[in-house]
Amino acid sequence: MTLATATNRTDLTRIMRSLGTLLELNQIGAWDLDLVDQTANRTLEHDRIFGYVSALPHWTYEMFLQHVLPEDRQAVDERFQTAVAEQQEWQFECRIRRTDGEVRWIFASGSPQLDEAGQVRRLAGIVQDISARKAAEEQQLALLKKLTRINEELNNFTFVASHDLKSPLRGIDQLATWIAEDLGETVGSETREHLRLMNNRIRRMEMLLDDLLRYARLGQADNELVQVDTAELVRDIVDLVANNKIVQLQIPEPLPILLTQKAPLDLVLRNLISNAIKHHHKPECTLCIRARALPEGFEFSVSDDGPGIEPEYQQRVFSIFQTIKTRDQLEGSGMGLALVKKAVELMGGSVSLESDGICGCTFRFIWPSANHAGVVL
Amino acid sequence: MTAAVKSAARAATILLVEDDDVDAAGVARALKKLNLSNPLIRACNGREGLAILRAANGVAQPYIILLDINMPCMNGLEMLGQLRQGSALASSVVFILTTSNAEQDKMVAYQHQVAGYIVKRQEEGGFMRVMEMLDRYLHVVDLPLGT
Repeated sequence: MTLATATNRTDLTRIMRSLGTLLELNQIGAWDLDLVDQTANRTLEHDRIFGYVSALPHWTYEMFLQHVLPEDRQAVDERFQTAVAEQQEWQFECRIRRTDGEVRWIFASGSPQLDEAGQVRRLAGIVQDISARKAAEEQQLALLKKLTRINEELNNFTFVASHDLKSPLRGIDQLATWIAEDLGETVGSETREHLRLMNNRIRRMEMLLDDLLRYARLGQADNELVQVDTAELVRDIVDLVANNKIVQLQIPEPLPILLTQKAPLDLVLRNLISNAIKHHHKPECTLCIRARALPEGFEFSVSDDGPGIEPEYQQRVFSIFQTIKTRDQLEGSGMGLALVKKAVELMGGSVSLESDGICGCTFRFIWPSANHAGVVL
Repeated sequence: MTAAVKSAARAATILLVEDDDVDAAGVARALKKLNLSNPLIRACNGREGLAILRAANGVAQPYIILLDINMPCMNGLEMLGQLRQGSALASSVVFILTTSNAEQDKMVAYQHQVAGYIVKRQEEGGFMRVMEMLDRYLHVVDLPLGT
């Protein structure tokens, strides 16, 4: 049984009662405004929302407007006039001052009811106190602003720090070189070793700062979209980073041609591929690169047959300055995978790692693409 | 006559505008190692550089300016702008020698007619290579000698 099919007064009364309970439970006030005789029927909740403990003897549109804060009043009234004139829904959020002086946010909505002549005779609808939701929204917005500011500061700091630290480092480098030059052959083997170590530390610091700078700069410049033949890109990278290792590159299925930003994709693939080669424990390594079309882009995977990464370290590898081996065993800034993660996430993708820590590992990343269906050749 | 000009050019003064003492020492060291006799004058920022050039006894021609960019008080590009505005110093031959690899800096420098923009790079022989190049440049190129 619905309101429309109710046939007798008892049914109607029952429906009205349950509607009333529903409104009350949700703290929604109901109102019905007569535009001709300027009277209004309301539920008790309606008057409570405006701060009255019990129902007022009468209520008018003017009384309502007096509750609306002066700065919101004109906009609310204009919407009301438009709703009546154009027989539309009247819907708004505004601030009111309750009779006890407290300022609250309300949401109200009403629809025009026509008389026999087709004129708007009545307007009926609901009203709701939405102060709690508004407060939460405002808090969220403030939090978001704060977060954005902190993030900007951090980025700025990283940039300035890495940039300004390079200049004194260059000085140290210069001086160390001169000292070594001036001492020439007269220097003992221990001093020579110390100079070598010092030089090595200078290079390491340079690399750390360069990568930190790269990390801070990631995402600051939007690169233009270009056609990238990912198979060609992968082959170029392998040629460049193979060094003196023998690399068996396997591309079992065709890799896509993407319309994307080339620099970040290059950075991601370069770091994953050079990691696989650099960390390999044998002189010969096998690399397998695949891509799989997904609705949102492509999932690339880079697999190797190296020593793998033990499960307990897998969470850590994506953080900045994390290395698996000490830097004296294997030179690295510990920024590579952090760069990968940031670049992939800036594109709206994600990166993950699979390895049993014994034999090989597979990095997968999802690269959203402008032509996300891609072209597979 | 030609020989006289050439020998004058060989002894061109180098005005080094550089705030970093180690870099300044690097230039001096490279000159010494290469056995070059060019007089070296140092200014620590753009304002000092302009003051030296504009002083009554100035810098004797021929000279070239080696100009850093990031410096306190007045940076290299600001100094360059002022040089190109004034009529007396507008013909100065300027090389930029900086750590800044920014495309924007390079563009501004060349718009102000620098003879070359050199990024300081330790790994490629550092100041030795720069000074070697400048020595060869001064052997081949005639600088303005003024009136």
